[in-house]
Amino acid sequence: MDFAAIFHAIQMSGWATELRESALAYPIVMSMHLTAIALFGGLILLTNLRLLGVLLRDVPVVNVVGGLRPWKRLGFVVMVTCGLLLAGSKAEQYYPNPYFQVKMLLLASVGVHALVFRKSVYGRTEPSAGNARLAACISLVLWLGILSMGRWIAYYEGDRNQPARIAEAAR
Amino acid sequence: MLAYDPATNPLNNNEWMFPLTECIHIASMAMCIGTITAVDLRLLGTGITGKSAGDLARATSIWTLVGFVLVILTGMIIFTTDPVMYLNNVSFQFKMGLLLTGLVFHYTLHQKAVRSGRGAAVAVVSLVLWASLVFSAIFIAFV
Repeated sequence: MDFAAIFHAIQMSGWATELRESALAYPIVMSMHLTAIALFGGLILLTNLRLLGVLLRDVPVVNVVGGLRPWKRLGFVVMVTCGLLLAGSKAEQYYPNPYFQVKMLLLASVGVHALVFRKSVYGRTEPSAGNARLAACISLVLWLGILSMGRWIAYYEGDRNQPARIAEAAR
Repeated sequence: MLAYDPATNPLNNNEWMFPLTECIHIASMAMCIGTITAVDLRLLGTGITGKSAGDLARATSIWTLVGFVLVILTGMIIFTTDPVMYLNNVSFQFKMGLLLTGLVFHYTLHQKAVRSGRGAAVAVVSLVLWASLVFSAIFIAFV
């Protein structure tokens, strides 16, 4: 069983078919995905602006990072859950899409970024300005990349031989 | 609009300009709604508790405003790619109503509550209002 067959199986599962074909559930899940980006993606931006030292300089980094952490976690869970539901319901179109692949790679990099800067920035009361700036810049690049790739997924026209290859793989 | 043909719009004749405008639209949306969210969370007694809601709003208001300007500007650009469709779209009409309500609310009742530092109900209304705006935006493509 290769990837094509796995994604075919995901797309053909009951929940994926129901979500894809629902006139209401699909746009609701998509709206929740975007609402999570608006409410909590904005908090990520705010945290990064503090780490860059452009606002709230009189509030210790730990208060901004720590205070917003539970909300950003909640937002992240909602965003990723809705995103996976949306991608899963059209798994066969999504997995060969290079923008989707780059997006997943960037999303994994967000995890690596959090681990790398955990000790030097996110776990500190007052990290050094240099480390904080570096962490914020990388975070901004990763998230803006994820956002852009997410939007570009919809504009990929794909490879014309793809359906035939998927059908062959699923056989 | 009588003499305007959307087919002549550069955004309809270029592969990357339309999605790029959408990306700026979404990022600036996150900027204005996210900064408002931080203030609303503070009104609810959580989030960045090291500062009062009023001080937090003062520190973030410029970012909220820049976000508003960018999101409305890019929204207007996107609107020009298919104005007749948008004007006749019920979700778009609803979205514009919410946007107007939201802006007025934000700079009047919301601002007043933030300054006094009390207003959990105002914070909830604010969060629901902006979330509804996002829903009405997505539904434009589905109604």
